[in-house]
Amino acid sequence: MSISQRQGAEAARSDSRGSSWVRLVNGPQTLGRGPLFWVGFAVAIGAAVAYPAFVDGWSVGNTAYFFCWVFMALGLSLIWGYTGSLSFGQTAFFGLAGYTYGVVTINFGAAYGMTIVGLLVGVGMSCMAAALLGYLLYYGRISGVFLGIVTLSTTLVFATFMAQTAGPKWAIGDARLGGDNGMTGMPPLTVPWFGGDIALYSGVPLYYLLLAMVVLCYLCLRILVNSRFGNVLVAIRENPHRAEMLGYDIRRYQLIAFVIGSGLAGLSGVLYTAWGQYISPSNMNLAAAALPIIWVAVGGRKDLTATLVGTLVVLGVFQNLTIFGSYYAFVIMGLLLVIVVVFLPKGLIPGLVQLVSRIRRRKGDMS
Amino acid sequence: MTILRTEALYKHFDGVQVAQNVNFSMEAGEIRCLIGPNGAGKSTFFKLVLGEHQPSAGNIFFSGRDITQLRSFERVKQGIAVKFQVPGIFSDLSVWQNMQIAVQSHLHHRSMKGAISKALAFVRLSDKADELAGTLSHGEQQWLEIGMAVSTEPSLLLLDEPTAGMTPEETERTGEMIQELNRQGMSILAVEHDMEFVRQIAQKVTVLNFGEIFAEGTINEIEANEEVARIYLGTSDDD
Repeated sequence: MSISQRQGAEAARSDSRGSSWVRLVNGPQTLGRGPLFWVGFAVAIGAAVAYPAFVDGWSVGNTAYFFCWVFMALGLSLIWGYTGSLSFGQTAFFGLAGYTYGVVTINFGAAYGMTIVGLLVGVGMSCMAAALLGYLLYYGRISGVFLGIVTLSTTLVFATFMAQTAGPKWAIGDARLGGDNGMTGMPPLTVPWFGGDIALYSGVPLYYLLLAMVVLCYLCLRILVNSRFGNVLVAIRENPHRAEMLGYDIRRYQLIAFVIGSGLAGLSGVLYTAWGQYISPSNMNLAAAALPIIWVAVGGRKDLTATLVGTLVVLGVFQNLTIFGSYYAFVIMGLLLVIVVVFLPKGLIPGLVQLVSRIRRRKGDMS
Repeated sequence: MTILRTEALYKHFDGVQVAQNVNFSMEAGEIRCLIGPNGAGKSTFFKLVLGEHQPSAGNIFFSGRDITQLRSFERVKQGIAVKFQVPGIFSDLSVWQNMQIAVQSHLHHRSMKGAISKALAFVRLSDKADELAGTLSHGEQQWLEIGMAVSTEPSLLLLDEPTAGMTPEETERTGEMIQELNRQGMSILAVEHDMEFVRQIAQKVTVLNFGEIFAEGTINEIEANEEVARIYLGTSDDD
């Protein structure tokens, strides 16, 4: 038994002693635990806070752009990594929420907190659509690879539909959907403030807001996956038949996880749209739909920390690769996915943790 | 009081009749064994009781309530638990986590730790609580699953070949566990091929053949029944 597995089992025992938030944050369904991890976590947060002081504005904005995608990856980790349902639908909910944000804010403007309303309506729309699709999937007993096929088909149908919405007839109020060219003209996130509204264009304030949201979302999801609810999700991933025979309505749990995960994809969609003031069907096409799968699989889908770190690293690598040609970047991403699936099925970071555990154990045996 | 009763239960798959007019009844507090040759319909009967198959006709009553239309998890909530033939555990989770997931299905957080420890002690896995369930021996995995099923505090426990692949010592220990659960008031219905084990635990035996109840009685009556011997126990007419 590896050190990480033993720590997990011990965390599971301590989790049963109480239900405080601290114990849930530090529970058995997450890899990073113990003082060393949390010191590292605090250092990473400190470095992220200090980061804008040491780099130029473009880098800050670019990192904020990376943060926009993290929510979608964490959502997929919940749906796929923790619950075992491979979903290609993340970009559909991403796009739906992005377009919704555009429609609301183009029609009602940015004053009086309307961009926040746009954000909430966008995320709400993606949650409602996920509830409908998820209900049809799970209560229609669609699972395994077929769930992936149906979610991918849904995404591609939605992307194709949006791509043909060119022309003035495809408009909701003042918001033109824009067909292949996408929708433009929506305002950035704007926070109502005493001295006047603060528009969060790509820059340091937006960076800090997104950083805070990423940390909050990460911690909340840690609490969720280590809670009783999270235990059931993991049980469903491991053996759905047994989970049902312990008295759990597994379809209800799968549906809730799907809605939360898809809602997070919607949050990414809104933040991306507000960040770039642009959304288009290319954000939902086949290549775009496959990318979240690669981020999550490469990092380690069964762990939130692995997903978070993996997503940021793969996004950075992908962006640098596109300098040499975007198509080559996609080919290399595909190759990376194949290599990880074949050689490190649990992902790079859990693989690395396993390796370190083995070395530490060997050292312990020798001493 | 009758805990489980089926009324004219039928099930067919594409014209193949796997359960025919099964009128089964067992009393609360009983240990019943279900035997029969391969393909007799024992597993199908279990699946019908668990709600994994819907009957083509007939009804199933549990503690007097018609559960025919209930889904599997709802039947479990009513008080039916199952241990499958192939251990249905969460292999990548620790033994403790396996038990925790079972216990939390009906208990609140504060009383969980004690219940988990008690269940692990009952199946003699306390010292293996931190190990991954998938690394346990076959017999231990069977016990873990029995412990998980029992942790849901059922009034009826279904056991599908609980001793399959066990050593004689493990088989004997499993028999003791089952009898201990029965002493605590749990009704037990087990599918079993090992007649020695059936002799150890069963108060009554039901023989299924071609989806029908072929015979019913005490183990001595069943063993003395020449027709049962002919179809199942391997005794030919010449013997």
